[in-house]
Amino acid sequence: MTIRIIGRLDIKGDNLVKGIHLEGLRVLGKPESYADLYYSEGIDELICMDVVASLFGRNSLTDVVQRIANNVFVPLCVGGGLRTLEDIRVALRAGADKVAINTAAINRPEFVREAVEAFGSSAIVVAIEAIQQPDKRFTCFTDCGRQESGVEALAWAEQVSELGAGEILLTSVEREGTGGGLATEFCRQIADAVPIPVILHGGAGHVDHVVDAITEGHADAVCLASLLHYNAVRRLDIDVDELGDDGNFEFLLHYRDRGFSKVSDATVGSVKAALKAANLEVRL
Amino acid sequence: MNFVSEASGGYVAITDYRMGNLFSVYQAVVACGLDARITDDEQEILGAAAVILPGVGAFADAMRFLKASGLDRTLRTVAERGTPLIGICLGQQLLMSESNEMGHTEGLGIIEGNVERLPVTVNTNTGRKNKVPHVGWSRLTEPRPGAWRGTALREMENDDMVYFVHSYCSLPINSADVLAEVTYSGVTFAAAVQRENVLGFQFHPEQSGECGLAIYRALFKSILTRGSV
Repeated sequence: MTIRIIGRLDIKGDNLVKGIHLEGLRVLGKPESYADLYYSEGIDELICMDVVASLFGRNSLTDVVQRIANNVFVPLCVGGGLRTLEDIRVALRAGADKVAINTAAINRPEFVREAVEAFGSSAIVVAIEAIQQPDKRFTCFTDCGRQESGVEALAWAEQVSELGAGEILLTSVEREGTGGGLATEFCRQIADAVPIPVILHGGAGHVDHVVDAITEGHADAVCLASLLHYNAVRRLDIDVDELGDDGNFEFLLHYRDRGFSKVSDATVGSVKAALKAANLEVRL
Repeated sequence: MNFVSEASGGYVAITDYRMGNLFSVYQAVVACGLDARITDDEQEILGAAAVILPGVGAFADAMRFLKASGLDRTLRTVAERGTPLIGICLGQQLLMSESNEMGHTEGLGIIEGNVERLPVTVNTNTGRKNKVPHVGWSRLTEPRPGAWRGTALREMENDDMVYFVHSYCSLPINSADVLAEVTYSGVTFAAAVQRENVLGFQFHPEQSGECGLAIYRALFKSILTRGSV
């Protein structure tokens, strides 16, 4: 099976942002600039996440999604604050191929089944954002990693696959944005237990981490943000004056050329080259 | 390049039957320089230079809607008149005679064959089962030497991959109807089917990057310059 490398674009307002543990959002530029760059460099899929939508109960992603979908012809998944079938319909109408749901699914699991019946399994990705508890169990969080649901991640993964979800997007919240490596053991438990593909996200800081996610974590796909963004931010032509006001501009104004110390230099191409060198199949 | 100007009234009708990724297909067709219309109107479908039947979702729901709306007859007429009819993903499966997805449902019956669930196999190297749905990028293969000559796949290169997402696959009875094959977890099945003016892709050209757009361009170029697929 060909391993998919998925670029994740966290969006606040009109801006691409990047946080740590899904918090502290640095503005990195326009999401469509990153989408176009990654598409031209062979990204296999993109996920656009409205990272604050769930907190404020709004959906502001439509315009951004439409701008991306006009130029990008790989699967585009959209998530963040989708609570109703109508919200999903709007996302698909903007040009998304799939949607990711988390909070609304945890609040009412039947929503997964209803969404699958309305739009098909292949359009419904369940996002699981988990944190390991002192007793070693992983539990699911909602609302961008802020609200503990008490739902155990493995049981929830099995339940959503029975409800018909097409894929699982698995995020380890405590690793997210740290560059310290992906949650391979956690992923393996889930990926080996469910019959549907698992996308692992959160913590990749080096191309070797991506290889580990596949070989050790048994992930079917890996979702990357920092690892790609902090290289792209130095190559893209970014005009700060053209960006929206949302988020923290400190990084872009003063530290852009330095990158981010926790993350090594990587591109879509170098990630895929590392996978290929490890005898994993990728699309080049 | 704009192919529309070369054709008379040349728009592509994207059949709206409330299932699937109509907008993603629309954007790709427009990116190829064509006029695309999302429609459920019989006359607009019958007047199109080519008709796309997209779709993700359940086979039985799709057939129920097509029958209730009369679009099943419209699509058969499209096929009989020789107008290019292109099924994508579930749209390809709907072209077949019948499906065993959740019970037994009759399809449009334009290409003889069944639709069956992808088998779960165990990888002998890893001991792990393959995932269903099959989600991801795969290489297409020619079922017979020269099978792609003059078809929408004529410009495919060896390393080109296309994007699949499906749990069921079509099994045409006549091997001549298989235009391309794909192998997933050791099982080989039809990735594209074609009989004369009727064409089906199990993969999603509109999500398959520049390779997918090249397939659409090759397809529409033949349609709009020669009037056939």
